Amino acid sequence: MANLNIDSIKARTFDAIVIGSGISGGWAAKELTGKGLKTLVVERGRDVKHNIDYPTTNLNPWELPHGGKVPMDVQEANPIASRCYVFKEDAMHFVVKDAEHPYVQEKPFDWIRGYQVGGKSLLWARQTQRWSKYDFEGPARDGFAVPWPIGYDDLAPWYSHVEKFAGISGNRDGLAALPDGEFMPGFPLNAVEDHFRKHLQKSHPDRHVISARCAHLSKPQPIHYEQGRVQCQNRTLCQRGCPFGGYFSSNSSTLPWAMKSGNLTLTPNQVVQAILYDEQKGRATGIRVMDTHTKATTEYYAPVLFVNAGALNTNLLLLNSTSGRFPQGLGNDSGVLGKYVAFHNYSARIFAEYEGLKDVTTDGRNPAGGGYLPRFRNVFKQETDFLRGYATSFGASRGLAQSAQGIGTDLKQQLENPKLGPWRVSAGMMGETIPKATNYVRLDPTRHDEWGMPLLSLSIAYDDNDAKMKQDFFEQFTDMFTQAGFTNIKTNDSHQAPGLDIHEMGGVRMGLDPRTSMLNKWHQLHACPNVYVTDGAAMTSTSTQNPSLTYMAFAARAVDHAVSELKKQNLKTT
Amino acid sequence: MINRRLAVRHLTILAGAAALLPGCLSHSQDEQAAAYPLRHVVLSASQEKLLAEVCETLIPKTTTPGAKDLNLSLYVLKMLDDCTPTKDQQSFVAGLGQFATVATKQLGQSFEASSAAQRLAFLQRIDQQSQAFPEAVVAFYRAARQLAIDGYTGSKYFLTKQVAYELIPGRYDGYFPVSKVDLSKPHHGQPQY
Repeated sequence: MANLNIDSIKARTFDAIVIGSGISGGWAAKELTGKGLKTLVVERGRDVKHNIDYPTTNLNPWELPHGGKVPMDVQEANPIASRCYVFKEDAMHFVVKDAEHPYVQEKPFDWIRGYQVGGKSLLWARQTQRWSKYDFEGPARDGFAVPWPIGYDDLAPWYSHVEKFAGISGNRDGLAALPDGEFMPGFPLNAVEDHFRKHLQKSHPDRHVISARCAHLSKPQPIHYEQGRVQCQNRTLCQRGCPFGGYFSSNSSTLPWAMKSGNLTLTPNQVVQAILYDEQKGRATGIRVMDTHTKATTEYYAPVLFVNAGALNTNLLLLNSTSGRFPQGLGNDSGVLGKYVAFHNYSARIFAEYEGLKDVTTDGRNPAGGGYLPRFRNVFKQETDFLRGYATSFGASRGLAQSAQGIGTDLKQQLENPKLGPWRVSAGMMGETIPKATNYVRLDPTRHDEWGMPLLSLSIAYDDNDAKMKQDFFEQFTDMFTQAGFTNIKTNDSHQAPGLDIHEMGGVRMGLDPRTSMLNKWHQLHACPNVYVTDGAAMTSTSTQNPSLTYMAFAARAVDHAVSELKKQNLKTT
Repeated sequence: MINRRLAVRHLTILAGAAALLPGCLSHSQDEQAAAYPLRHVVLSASQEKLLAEVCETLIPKTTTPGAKDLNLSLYVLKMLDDCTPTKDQQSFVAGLGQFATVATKQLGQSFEASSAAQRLAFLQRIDQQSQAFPEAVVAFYRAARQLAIDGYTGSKYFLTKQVAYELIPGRYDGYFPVSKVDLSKPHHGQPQY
């Protein structure tokens, strides 16, 4: 019996455990296995294998049962998920349904989740921009949150490392506020996007319209072919999963790569309930998981753990990992765990039309989505009555005029001979929000889900700074659009709750001081250094970039550190 | 739920036709078992027939297929049943009932028994003089018209032969000359699904 037990423990012991298989967990797994560590990746959702589990990927519009529309009963049962742009008939199977995974909204928050192998990396908008020194220096310069313990120079080589493997398309724009990276050719701006770019060059030399940088293979390199990925085919059906591997996801890239190493064990359908802490060793020793179907619990062990559960679920897991040493949650001596949560303000858009350039249109589709304006407010110094600023997505397109009148032969004639409509342009704000102690998540004191986890209770809201920034966005873009000759300009304040940006961040923030932060500069819990957190929970501030690329770089950099610490026996527990 | 939906993913609208017919009209047990039955909307066989004629009047057969060729009335029913709020389903069905009555009164015979020209003229009156018709009739007409248009422009026929949809463009040109646009070939401007 005793031997059986020892064998069983041995079978459940790995060199490293990664919690979560999304964009950052996939990277942790790829790096750990690449360095020879036998690695267990635990995923709470079902398995989604590249290509095999993309059921809608090759469907034509008429082959979707409702042409892409979500049936009314599904919409009514899922008011939260239904507010997400990706929750359409072709991809709704990759989005968590409201009733399956309830949470508590102390304030309105639309929490969009993807519980499956690959997580939201299947669904992401694939926009990838590096942070600059001006982003990392924000909190210290402007006196909010706590200073970042790392800067651009710490992360730059790791940005390069992940960019080369993931495959990033973009131009070398030479902008201080948005450092260049390892790029394949960018997707070009179209005629009207270019018109706006040229106009701004004259009217506002400090404002730049660049090709959106994105994780698409515009010109694949040998490393991408080695992953089984080929050139992006401009389908822009990415949310279904891409049979070409044209965009980066855990499913198409890091996880199969890790699997090929022979060092990966992937266990879907396992909810991690807690990280196990050994008081005598002063280290985390493993995890306790529950099988989502059988409800059986199992423990797994490893000398080093990577927490990549997705920002808010990483908070939930640490809060629920209590012990005599850590009664308030693992590593939470400071009491800041769950606090200083922030997000991106995506609630403002502006639309217009353009009467010019009628002799051209677009052909094919642009997977990058169009143009991008890096933050131009308060970059080098404070210059407005609000802190920080916003990046902006900017796109132009020319659809078909939709004005079919009447019925019968007349109507058919119009439908069968549609005319090109005017150029339409739109810009979307991506605003930095300021982390505050009053924006927090915590465990609901009484309610649990069916896997024994306390419900996560969310209290996250906009503030006055966000309102002022939004006003500035509307004013600046109304001016710029007017000067560029755009007409019929309409601003749109969606009044959406936080969450739909799907950029929730923080709660386990990095910092220099263990009294005011959870993680050190290597992403280790200050108080439990063999636990690394390298997903969005680690964010000290949010800046304006789409964050996934930064999480990838976090994970790769932290694994490099962890493996060197293991070699020095600094993390050893078993 | 998902699996059942995916099970029908390869059905063209044509193949879907058999599946969409209410059980009483199905031809075999097999078709009933594979059915995608209407769950909310209840129409009589004669109402279904009327709807089919309304759709054919909206999208008639010309040199190109019409509503009957493409089974558009079944598409209308499916979208009505699956993707329309209950309130609008009810007003659609009520409006369809009133439509039959008003049509018979104005045409001197049933809509179905009237000539194509009479049907067209009747629908055009609703389209252009809506204030002269009961609200429910107008609401039904507008909803049926829009769904029939969606069904036509979303059909395999339309998206392969008229305004071609392209699953795999493999290119992007941001300065494409309008003079070269040929909508019957895979092109820009397609709705993105």
